[in-house]
Amino acid sequence: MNCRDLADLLGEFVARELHAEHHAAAQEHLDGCPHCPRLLHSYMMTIAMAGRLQPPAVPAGLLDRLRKHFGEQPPAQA
Amino acid sequence: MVLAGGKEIDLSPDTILNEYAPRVYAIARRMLGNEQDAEDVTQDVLLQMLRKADTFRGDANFSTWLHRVTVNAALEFRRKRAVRERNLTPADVDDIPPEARHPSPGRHWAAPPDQHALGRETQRLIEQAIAALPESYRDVYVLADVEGLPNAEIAAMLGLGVPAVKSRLHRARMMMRHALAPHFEESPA
Repeated sequence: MNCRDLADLLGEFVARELHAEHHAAAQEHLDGCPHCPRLLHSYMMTIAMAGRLQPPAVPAGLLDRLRKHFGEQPPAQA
Repeated sequence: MVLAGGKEIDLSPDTILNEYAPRVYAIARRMLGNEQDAEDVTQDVLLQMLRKADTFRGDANFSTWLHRVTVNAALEFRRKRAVRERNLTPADVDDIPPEARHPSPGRHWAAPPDQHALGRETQRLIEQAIAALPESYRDVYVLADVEGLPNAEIAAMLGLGVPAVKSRLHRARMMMRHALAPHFEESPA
């Protein structure tokens, strides 16, 4: 396995979806390659940070319109 | 509470505004890439939810059903927008920067502080990179890595096969990595 092969398989490697022999070959490449562990680290960080994103705030105007629809009074302005 | 698909669903205004609206808005905002369109879709989905709650069959959980309705509404909105703008370019699947196809390993990335919530600047950078993804990749990325949905569910929502979802997700991650690298790579020693 070379670096390009590993890059193509990273998604399945991190999801542990590769067949055992492919997983082992990928791991063996990672153990001996001076570059690919950095690629793996940044790939995994990309995934981890996406999972930690906070949802965007719902605009106040939209909440007010929805409240109006439900017949509720919008909250008083502070 | 209403009974649908054999399950009780809370459709009180409080729950809709505080629980469902943020979830629907987050998906619509990230898929559509702008606030105004996301507001329109969110309002539409929530009102649709009230009208069509009885079509919820109870074979999935309500949250999955709500995701599905939201994704459908966002895709439909985007289709109409494309027709309005006479921009019928169907897919942007080949619009991938070469660096994302054949990535260089780059330098080591510095981890953001290990807090539950990302800092405001980190959050902004990631949202910006998501908004810059081609739509067909952005959809899969948002649903998989941001929303945490399983590939099979995403495939069903988007009308794709699971292998296509996996392939797009991998490409999207590579594009995200490429976009974020300048901000997270450590300086050379």
